Amino acid sequence: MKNLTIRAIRAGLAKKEFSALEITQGFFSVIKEKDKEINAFLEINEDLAKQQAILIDEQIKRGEKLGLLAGAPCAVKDAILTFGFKCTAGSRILENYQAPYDATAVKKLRSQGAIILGKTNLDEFAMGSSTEHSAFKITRNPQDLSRVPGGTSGGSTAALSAGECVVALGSDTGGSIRQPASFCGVVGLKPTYGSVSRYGLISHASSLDVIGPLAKNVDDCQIVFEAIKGKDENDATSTDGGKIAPVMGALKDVIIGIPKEYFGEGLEKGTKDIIESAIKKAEKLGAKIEEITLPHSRYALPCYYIISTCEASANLARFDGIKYGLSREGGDLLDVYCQSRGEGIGKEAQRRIMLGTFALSSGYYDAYYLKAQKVRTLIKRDFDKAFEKVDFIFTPVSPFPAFKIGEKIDDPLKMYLSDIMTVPVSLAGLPALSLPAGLDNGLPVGLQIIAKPFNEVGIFQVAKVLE
Amino acid sequence: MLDKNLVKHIAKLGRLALSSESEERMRKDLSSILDYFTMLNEVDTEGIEPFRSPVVLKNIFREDKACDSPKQTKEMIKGQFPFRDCDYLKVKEIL
Repeated sequence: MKNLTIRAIRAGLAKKEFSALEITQGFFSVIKEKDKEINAFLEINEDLAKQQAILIDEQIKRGEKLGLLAGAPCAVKDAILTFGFKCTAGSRILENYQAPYDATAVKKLRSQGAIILGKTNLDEFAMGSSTEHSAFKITRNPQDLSRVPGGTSGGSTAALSAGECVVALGSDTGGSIRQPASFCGVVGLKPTYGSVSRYGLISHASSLDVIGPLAKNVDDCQIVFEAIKGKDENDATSTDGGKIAPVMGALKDVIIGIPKEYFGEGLEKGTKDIIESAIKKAEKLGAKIEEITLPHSRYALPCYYIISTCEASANLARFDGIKYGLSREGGDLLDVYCQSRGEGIGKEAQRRIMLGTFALSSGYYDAYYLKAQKVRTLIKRDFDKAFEKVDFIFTPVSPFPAFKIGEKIDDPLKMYLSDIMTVPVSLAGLPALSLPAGLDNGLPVGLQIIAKPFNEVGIFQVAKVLE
Repeated sequence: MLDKNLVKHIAKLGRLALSSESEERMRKDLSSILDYFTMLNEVDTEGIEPFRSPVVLKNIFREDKACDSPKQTKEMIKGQFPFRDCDYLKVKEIL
């Protein structure tokens, strides 16, 4: 059970070593055993999953060709609509909301034979860095139960880390796939913006959101990415991408850039040592290591928190108690809006709505939103310049490994600073992977591998060599 | 520190009913976060274009034809109206 990969499941099914139903039941046993402690899942549905598994088993009996993810038990972050399940986005305002359709990414996974086990916990509306802002439960890091799994895709990474599923879907706006992947010791890809359809993803920030794959190893992560990517007519910002970068021969043909700004003060020693070992390993395998500079790095965090909150304030306006979700009768129409949102939306999401509303309001728009968008252009240019000289950029994912539950919850700004190394990549729309690189006193530490737009193929090649 | 009335104004724009404790808490949190944002004033953005989108945006058109949805989907959506009257969604007076 523990060492099952997508390929092993598919091969085992084809050889009739086990059935899809047996695999599915096996994983539900693990969930029943472990999840009361971990709390990765918000909703599971054994009957629905068994139905899917039986269909796969019938396909095998008929000798039909199996999908690439046939029989693979999959968990989906509860911000991604999955028909047959609720979709709460971790919020009370959507506590009983039933998904009316499948997100494109989910539809694609199903068409390849994946078995959806359930929906995983997240920070409310994908706003946070620890999954502690969920309105429903605290998810614990399986590597150390007193610590957070990271966020906002903490439920998905915890489920993987605990062996409750084989693959998972998450979403990344400012680091929400990469950081929990790093904290839980799993592989997580933030794809290039636009490479995976956002249709069916409850929006946080429209110019930053991406759905991405999570898995226990690089190969599985890549298989899921290949299955979910692609232009979708339901998402006008989705694209098939530019030219695929030339296939890399070996690490000896590769130049890796190390930005000095990511290795200064604030980076914990344990993390620094592990990342430097990973860089040395790449060098031993033949890669050329070059120090680079991304001069506007320190401005990425305030830039991100202005832009994302502005976009979020617009995206969350639809949760108003009118068409669906929690609704308070109130006095007049304005009361319905204010009471429903006041009660149904949690503190952190409210804080971000307030920040975004302020920064977009008359008299402040130029100083905040417009200024941040100009700084964003400069941040993107830093990466463009660097990629003229190097093929990939290596950095830590986070300045520190998983922190204790409750440690940062009372200080919003302290929590925001967790994202310092992931947000620049988000602002630039680039692809980046978090690869487990070692343990710091038992706590996983991830290496961030950043590439040019649409060069996920290159990232996976490098990651496989270093895995 | 942000003015209390400004916080009330933003809450109203954001359609959020906040208790007076929440308003005060919000005032403190927003003030410190907005202070942190002023760091961006250190950056010279003279002549720099604001970032538009990570992808090339162009308007995509379709035929001006009504498309139907499956009955099940329509029923799922209508079934989740907080206040429903037959096939109608009930709301408070708008005018």
